[in-house]
Amino acid sequence: MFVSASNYAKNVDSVMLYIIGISVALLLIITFAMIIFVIRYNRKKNPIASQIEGNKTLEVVWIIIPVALVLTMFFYSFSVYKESRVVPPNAMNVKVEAKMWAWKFYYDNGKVTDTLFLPAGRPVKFNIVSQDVNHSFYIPAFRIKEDAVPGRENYMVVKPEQIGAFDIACAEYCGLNHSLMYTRVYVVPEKEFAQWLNGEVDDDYLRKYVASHSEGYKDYLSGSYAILFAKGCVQCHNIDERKGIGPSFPELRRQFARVNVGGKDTTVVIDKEYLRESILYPETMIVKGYEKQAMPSMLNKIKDEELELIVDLLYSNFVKNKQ
Amino acid sequence: MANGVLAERLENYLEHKTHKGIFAWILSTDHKRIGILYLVSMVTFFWVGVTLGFLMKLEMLTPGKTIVDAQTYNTFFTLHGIIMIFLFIIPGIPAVFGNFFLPIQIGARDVAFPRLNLLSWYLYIIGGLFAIASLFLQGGPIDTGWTFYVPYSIRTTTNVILPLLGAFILGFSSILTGLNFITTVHRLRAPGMTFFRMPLFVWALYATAWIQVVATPVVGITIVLVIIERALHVGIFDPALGGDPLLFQHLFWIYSHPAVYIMILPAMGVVSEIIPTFARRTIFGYKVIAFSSLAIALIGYFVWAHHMFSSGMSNTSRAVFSLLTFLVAVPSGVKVFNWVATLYKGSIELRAPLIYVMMFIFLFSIGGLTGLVLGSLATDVHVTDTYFVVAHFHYVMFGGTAIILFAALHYWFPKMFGKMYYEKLAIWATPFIFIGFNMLYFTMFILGYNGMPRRYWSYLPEYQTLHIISTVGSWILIAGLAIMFGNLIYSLFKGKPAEANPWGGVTLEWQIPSPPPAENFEEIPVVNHGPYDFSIINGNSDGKS
Ligand code: HEC
Ligand code: HEM
Ligand SMILES: [Cu+2]
Repeated sequence: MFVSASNYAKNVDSVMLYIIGISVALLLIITFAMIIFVIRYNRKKNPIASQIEGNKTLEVVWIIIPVALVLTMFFYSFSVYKESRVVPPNAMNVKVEAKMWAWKFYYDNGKVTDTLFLPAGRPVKFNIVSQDVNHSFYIPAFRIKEDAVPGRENYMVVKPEQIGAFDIACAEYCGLNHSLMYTRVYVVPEKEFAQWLNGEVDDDYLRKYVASHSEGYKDYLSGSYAILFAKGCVQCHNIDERKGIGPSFPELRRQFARVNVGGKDTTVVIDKEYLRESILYPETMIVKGYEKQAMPSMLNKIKDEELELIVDLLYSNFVKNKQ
Repeated sequence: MANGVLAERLENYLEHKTHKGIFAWILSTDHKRIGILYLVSMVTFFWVGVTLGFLMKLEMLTPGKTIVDAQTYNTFFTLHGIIMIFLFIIPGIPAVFGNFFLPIQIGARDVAFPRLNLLSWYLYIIGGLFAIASLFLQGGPIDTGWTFYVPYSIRTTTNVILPLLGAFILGFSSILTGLNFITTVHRLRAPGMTFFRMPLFVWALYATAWIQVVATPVVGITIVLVIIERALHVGIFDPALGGDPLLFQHLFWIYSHPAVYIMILPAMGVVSEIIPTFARRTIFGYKVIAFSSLAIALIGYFVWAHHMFSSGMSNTSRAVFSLLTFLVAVPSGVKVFNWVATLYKGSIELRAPLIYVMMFIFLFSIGGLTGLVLGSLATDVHVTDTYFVVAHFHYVMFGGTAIILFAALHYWFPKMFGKMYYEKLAIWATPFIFIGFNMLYFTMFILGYNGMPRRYWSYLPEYQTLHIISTVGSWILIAGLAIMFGNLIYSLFKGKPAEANPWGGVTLEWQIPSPPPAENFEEIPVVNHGPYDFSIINGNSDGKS
């Protein structure tokens, strides 16, 4: 709840507190005045009303005070917001590309990833583009978003400070899987980041680093379907009921799979082993109805840990008949 | 002229039938019957919208699928939004109560163009049917959200054109009603009814009508452009065809932001009627309230881009639109102060309409104050397009306008139908509505600040507790709404006959019988005092004339 992972985020929270503080005060004044008047000037107590048509001074005062208050809000807020629009000279560039329904990140040295890795303490300028419809690149823990609009490049500046893993969401409606378009940002120290960028360590090294150096974050999925998007599974499998190129994931709820093994139809229990087999060696057990085009094998395309993550995720979210 | 004996000889508008059966309604050009036509059709659409809202909240009970899949959910919020915005809250108070009471409050027998008025209702119904027809056609119902953002609305395979046409037709209905009201106010005021003797409800309708006439054509043109682009692949908004998606957003919000004032100004007008009546005193700062309506209508044109702080505008535009947004908040705030001040030293009778108004002041203030969070750049780019915004606009539109529509329904019910509603039951409904409402929507502020985006079929498990509270809130709220409408419908048949002036109001509608005669006034009244001049009745011992 209310994770804030940069100075900018803390400043935004202060602006929020300032505005909400004043608002609550005004709300209480209005509400109490209203209730007190209704009780105090009840018809029984006050049978004849006083016909007061107005009061110039009072009315001027309650125009001027709100104007002054909102002006302070405007200036305070704007002074904080500037930080996200002014690009510092030492900023690192990352290109963010949105596409229904996944993110891709391009680093200046040619590295491309589907989860984001950032060094702590260094400002980053995101250049945000879209391949298809509008999306919005949103990192709640940094309190900032900027739309990805096709045909133009938008930018925003962020300076991550805290080591950790934070959600990235799509905040501009983009169709069917809008709500599943999550990925993550991993913030690591400059040194580890540099090693990774130069190819000395891999993604997993950084993930493990984050897992062991930050609070609360132990598994790198926590209920989101990020990895299914990152690994491209959703291009063929839908997370809702509709059939795609392959069967939808919710169909895994059936207890047995009818498959074709070496030209013969049989049934197999859907368990973790079945999931592993289907992902690594799809051609050995082709799901009934999909004989024309088996799934491409994921052998050597995904790492062992990723396979286990996917299997756990599918098993716990979709398989209903657990033994 | 407020003479019951004399008036009783006149046939009231419900007895006066120009045609047989249903045709007495759907062919009538009487502004009062047209008002009722709108009321019945709007309440029907409202309940369709509520049902969709109920289903959405049910789906939100768990992450992942609860009752419907993602595609269905996406069509739900789109239809919910379209129905609530275009079929319920925009026509809303002007179409029902404006039609019924604007002519009466200025001492006229009808609006300036009665036939045009009936045409507006037909356009409204046709537009509504178009919007809903996509449900039953191949390709499935529209799934773009009520904002129809391109390029998605150009590319999706669902039925987009039909609901767009619907919105286009509804726009015409709105423009014609606006024209009708402007002309009526200028041409048909009774002798002595100067502008500054008009009730504030009339002022509000007048300001609203100008927005309807000036802003609605922009959205009409925009919609036509989207239809052309979708059907003929002419590049206007879609970059794949050489267009600019931000252009669409600008055009859309140039209408849809002022439309927010189309929704709220008439409600503010109703508040300015109800408070003086139940406090039995003149309104505090009549001119300030009247002019702030105009100010809102005017400045309201220059803040549209605060819906686009994150879509890629220049930094200067962001700053300018943020500043103007803060300033437009002030006149609304001033109105709230004036209303509360009107209760001061009044002689207050706490009846259902006033309870709804108090609920409005609380909920609308929350809506307005959280609007400051959205006008402020630093906080807006965090919460825009999250549940914070969903909460904010429900507080403003539902807690504001819709609650006042309910207040108006109670306030004018005796006049419109000649029956009293049951006060106890009406009051019993309010705590359900109030508690349910806040459970349903206050949780959404927290969800939004925690980063849950809107229009999400599924969500991260950490949001679930708040969603459960919110869903339970929706049940309580809907129960309250059912009690309220149930009471009114029951009273329609079983209510006691209403007096001409049950609340002791002083505007003109209270000086004629309930229900009003077909021609409103036997003789056009001559007006010689302001709208809230209670001195005429304060001399009277029981306060009622
Ligand atoms: C190019 C399309 C494609 C991609 C990409 C793809 N699959 Fe498949 N998948 C299929 C097809 C087709 C089938 C059914 C035929 C078969 O069994 O090979 C299938 C079958 C499956 C099954 C068995 C389903 C059942 O209901 O019995 C699982 C589990 C599965 N895939 C998981 C995955 C995962 C995890 C990924 C991502 C790492 C993935 N798939 C990526 C096309 C794809
Ligand atoms: C019991 C009544 C209601 C319930 C339960 C309800 C619920 C909801 C929910 C949950 C959403 C968010 C959907 C999402 O972003 O995923 C929503 C959106 C919306 N609601 Fe309501 N609502 C109700 C009444 C109203 C009323 C009275 C209005 C208007 C006056 C309204 C106008 C809207 C609009 C315009 C949207 C945005 C749709 C979009 O994103 O395109 N709602 N509602
Ligand atoms: Cu998106």
